[in-house]
Amino acid sequence: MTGLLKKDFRLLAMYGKILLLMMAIFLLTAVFMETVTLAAGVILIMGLRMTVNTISYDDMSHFSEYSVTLPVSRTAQVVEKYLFSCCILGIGAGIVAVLNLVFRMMFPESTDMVENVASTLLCMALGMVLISLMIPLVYKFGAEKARVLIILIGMSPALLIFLLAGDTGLEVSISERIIFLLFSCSPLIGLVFMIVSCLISIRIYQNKEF
Amino acid sequence: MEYSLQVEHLCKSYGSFALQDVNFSLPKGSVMGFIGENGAGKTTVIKCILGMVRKDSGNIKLFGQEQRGDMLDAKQDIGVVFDGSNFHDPMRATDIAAMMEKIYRNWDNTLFEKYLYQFQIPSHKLFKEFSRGMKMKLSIATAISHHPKLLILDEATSGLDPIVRDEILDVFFELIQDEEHSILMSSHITSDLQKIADYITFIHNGRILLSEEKDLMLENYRILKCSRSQATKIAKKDIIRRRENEFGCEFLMKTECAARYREYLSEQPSLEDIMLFYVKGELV
Repeated sequence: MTGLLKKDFRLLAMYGKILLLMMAIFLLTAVFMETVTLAAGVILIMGLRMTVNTISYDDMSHFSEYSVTLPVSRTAQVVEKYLFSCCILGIGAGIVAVLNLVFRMMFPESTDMVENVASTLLCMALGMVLISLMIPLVYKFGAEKARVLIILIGMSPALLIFLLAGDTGLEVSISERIIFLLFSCSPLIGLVFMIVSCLISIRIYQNKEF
Repeated sequence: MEYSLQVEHLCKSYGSFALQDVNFSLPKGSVMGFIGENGAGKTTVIKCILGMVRKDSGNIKLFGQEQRGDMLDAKQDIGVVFDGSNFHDPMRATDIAAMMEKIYRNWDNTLFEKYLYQFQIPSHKLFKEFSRGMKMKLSIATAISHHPKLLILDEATSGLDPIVRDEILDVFFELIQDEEHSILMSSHITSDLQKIADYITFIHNGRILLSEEKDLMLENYRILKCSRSQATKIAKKDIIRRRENEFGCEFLMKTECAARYREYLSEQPSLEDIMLFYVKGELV
């Protein structure tokens, strides 16, 4: 598994230069707009893209077929992708944490540390949930179809609520208590999603024929 | 006799194509050429051996052990080379070595560097910048640098020029000298197999037609050539396959049968001849 992780980080360094440049631009924008939430959101998207891209690169180069002949179990190959995504999100969270501190020093009046930390945690957790939805779809349908499916899956609940609220005049309000609970438990919720997703992905990958 | 690989009653169906009761064994320290026309089932058999596809039935033994699941222990001792490239474009030989070092217990970096030097592969050049021959040489260097006991090559030399193929065959000759290493090599280039193989297994339409020692096989078959009028005097039971052309008829038969027709022109067939007769010849 370590060998495969090394390979993915090496690919990230080589293929990911454009993504890293885009991330740098968005982070600078976040600094100018004095918002850490934007930075956290950017890292979330980049983390998702990078993970999906590594699976896609493996398929394009036929490495995924070759990797099945290596003495690395299919389970380990799947777990490696989740570990990789956790590493990316973790590095991203570290960058956002540093940004938080910088903002605190630069803009002490306008920076609410608690709100920033909470939104960062939520973004990271959202990243874990999206990755958890995405990876099994990529293994099952391939990267291209999975991207379309994840947009549909991601947008459907929001679209449904929007339509319902519009038609019925339903007002959705969430109490502060529930919001606080969501923020606090979000990393755990993300972790649960990841574990379930990993088990599903392992099952899909173990039955896959090359 | 010890075997590196034993395939027993292997079956795998894909609907319109099926492997049917495939049986062959690769003795330890030998090279087996695995021949067959396009679509005969060579790659499917190799994929079943490596666990890339699930077999419907049958047994596969590697190094005397029946294989199930991920076969991790067996795969430590197997090197694999496929047709085409299997590494990412921006990788370098050094990146491949760094990855394989963590994957194979017996990865030998010194040996890998020796092969890079021998094959004149620059260690810091990107994989996408290599020619087809260089990519294949790098794949082969990777496959043999962890001291595998079994090397499996699926059309690894197709599309390569004769000089590169000769270079690669020399490496294989060197590898098998100690009689601890075995090679299963599927190829269309029967001239290469004729040089290096000890055994030949011939697959056609998912079935094994022949699996025997190469030298014995070539000695056991003869091609008889005659005119159409002369062909009528040949007994059907002596004929394995028959081919006609504008000059006359050609028959593939066993050497002991051909001995009865001394007045006819007969010659020893090549592997390619045997393959052509079995695939394109007609049963009598």
